[in-house]
Amino acid sequence: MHILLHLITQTILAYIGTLSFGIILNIPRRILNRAGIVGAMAWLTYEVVVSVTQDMLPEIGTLFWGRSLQL
Amino acid sequence: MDMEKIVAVNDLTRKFTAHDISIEIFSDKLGKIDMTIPRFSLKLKVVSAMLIAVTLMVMLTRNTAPITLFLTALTSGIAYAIAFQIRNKFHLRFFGLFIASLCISLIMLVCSKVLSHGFNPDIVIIGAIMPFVPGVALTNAVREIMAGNFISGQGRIIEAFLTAASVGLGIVLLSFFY
Repeated sequence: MHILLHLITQTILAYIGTLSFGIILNIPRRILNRAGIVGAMAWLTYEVVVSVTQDMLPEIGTLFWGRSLQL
Repeated sequence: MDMEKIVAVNDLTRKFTAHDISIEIFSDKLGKIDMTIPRFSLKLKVVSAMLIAVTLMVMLTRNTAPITLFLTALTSGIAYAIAFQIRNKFHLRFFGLFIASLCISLIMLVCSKVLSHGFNPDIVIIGAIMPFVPGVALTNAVREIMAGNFISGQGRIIEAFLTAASVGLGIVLLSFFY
């Protein structure tokens, strides 16, 4: 539940951020919304991949190098 | 960076190469392109710079203290307005970025001396320089080099590097006094 709320918040923030970047770069009006959606989906993918692989990373390190990996 | 202008010039060029319009109309429209394209107002752009700074600061550092949010919005708005005015009045892009980031650093220096209770000026600086990072220049550079346009790609890379260097220099000049 907590992670879901975190992901939703991050996606909304990414949408607002991408839209604002579109405004200061003066991109055409009709693609502002689409650009925001693409940015939000990209950031959601990044967050999901990070939250999935964060716990796996030490195990991958143990598998390949014989010691746990720290980021 | 003005994406609307790039889109308009691309449209005109494609129409010309497809022989839809003659060269006289092409030249006439190309000369008037600065007046015909729509632009967002400065007020909206400053608000957008504030939104970028606050949202990216929350996304990257996960810090939602009200004092940090307020200072990030204030600092990035002032810095963006300064950079915009210098770029439009004197046509000095990199100097404008340098002065803007110097201003960010100065505001943070004053705030960290005046406000006694703890907030982290590094986090506010990370948020406030977000509207100036050369993301579009780097993306265009890589895309043009991949497409085989090496000369304009190199130009973009130098632009991105100079932007990053002027922002970094402005931030770092006052960081010795913290």
